[in-house]
Amino acid sequence: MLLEVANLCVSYGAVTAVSGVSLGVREGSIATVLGANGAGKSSLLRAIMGLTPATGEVRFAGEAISRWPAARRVAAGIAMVPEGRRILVSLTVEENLLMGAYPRHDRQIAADLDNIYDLFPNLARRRHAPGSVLSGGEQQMLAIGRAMMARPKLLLMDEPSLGLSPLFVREVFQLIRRMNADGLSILLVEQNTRLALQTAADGYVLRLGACVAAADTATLARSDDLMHAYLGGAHAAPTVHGP
Amino acid sequence: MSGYALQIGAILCVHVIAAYAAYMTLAAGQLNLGIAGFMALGAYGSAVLSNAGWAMPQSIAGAVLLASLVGLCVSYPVLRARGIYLTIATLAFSEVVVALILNMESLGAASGLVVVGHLGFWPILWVTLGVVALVVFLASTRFGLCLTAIRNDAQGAAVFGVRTRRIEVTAFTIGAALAGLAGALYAHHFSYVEAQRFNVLLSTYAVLYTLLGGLQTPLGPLVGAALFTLAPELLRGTDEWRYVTFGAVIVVLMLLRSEGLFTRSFIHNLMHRRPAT
Repeated sequence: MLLEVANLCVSYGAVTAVSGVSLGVREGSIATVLGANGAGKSSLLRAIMGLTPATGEVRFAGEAISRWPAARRVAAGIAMVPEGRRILVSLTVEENLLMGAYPRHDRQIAADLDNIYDLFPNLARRRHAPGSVLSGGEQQMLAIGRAMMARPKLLLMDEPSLGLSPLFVREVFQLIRRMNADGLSILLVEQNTRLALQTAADGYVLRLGACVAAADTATLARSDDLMHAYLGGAHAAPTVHGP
Repeated sequence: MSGYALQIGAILCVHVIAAYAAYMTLAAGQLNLGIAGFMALGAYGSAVLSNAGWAMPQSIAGAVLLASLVGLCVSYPVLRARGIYLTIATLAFSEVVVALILNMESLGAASGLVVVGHLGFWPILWVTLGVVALVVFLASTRFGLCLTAIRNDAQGAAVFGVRTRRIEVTAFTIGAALAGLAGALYAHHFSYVEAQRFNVLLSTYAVLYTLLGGLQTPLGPLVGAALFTLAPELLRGTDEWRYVTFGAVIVVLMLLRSEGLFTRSFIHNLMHRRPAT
């Protein structure tokens, strides 16, 4: 296991967002966390990243990282594509990408930048334009490219399909598969259940902050009752949902 | 240059440095209205040291160090608050500094302090150019990039492993140091300091120069301070109407250029003139 989470709890004052969730991401695999709005998916990712206080155990590449600040987790190889993309609008496309390489001090940064531009020609064309002029899809590409600039071992993705056109959703998921094929381990939070189940190997279903199902995605996809009970029917769900 | 021009020039330099003091914290997205307090620390610090027999460069350096140390100590509690609460905390700090000075007989209390050692326009100008160069350099570093990232989205910046708190504390401390420097230069130029001079209006102006000049580039505060120090002088002919005109200009500017006069796109357009289509 590259990432192991045991009995993780996140509370905001009196409100419990995540209560006792355990999950794992195998080295080189994609795992997905499913659940309705408010199930605690984003809080879970933020806690793994060290961005929000949490109790419980988080182990990454064999090390206990629960007490590490976010900066150290990034340096250790965890990167995140945050919900809503969080593009830094006053910075240019290139500066956004360079911010992604913030924890690095090696000499490969320029080469990695070129790789990202090869992967996303749209970003290359607008490298000196402010992040605010990009379309939603381009912003998502920038957010993914930015996370890749940290050279992560594990990528946490929070709702990468949110607010994108069907075309871009397909492109994002193709990219996820390609990055995974290149050896990147991914923990994917998605509301697009169908696509997430098709893409990931392991799945976890959250409901009101607790993990109510954990299985390989083939098994989860067959368990209609579960899907209907917690997600309102995965098979009936449209490929894309509105923002 | 005439004495009048040199005087205006020296005031302009002090304003420019004060504007950069405000810029440092604003660049990280926080409004610091305690600039006057740090300027008072710098002015009185340098006054006391040089009156005690220190050479002027050393006493100015000592005053800057004092302002930085106080800035560092103050920044930790102050930066626990966000937004408007942080602003109020800095304002309160500034008022406390002035109130303390006003109640200390050894610092001349309300009658002020005569400062040994006069500093003319030219050395002040060189120091100011040094400050501009320093801030322009800082803005071009990773630290500068982090400041903009934090101003845009502090939580978003933390995702990349930016130690946001450390960056904010550093920016606040540099701002305090610059304000202290501005205060020290002011004290030595006028050879006299009084606590009442370091009021909230002084901080407000420092912030105003920066906001009107623009936060997007490190040259914004320079442009803002220059324009708004010189404009009232140029409008002197219109007599009592000059502040009305000045106020109106500020309002119109804020409406038309809410990002400030000197923005990145402005520079971009200046450097890459597109051929007419």
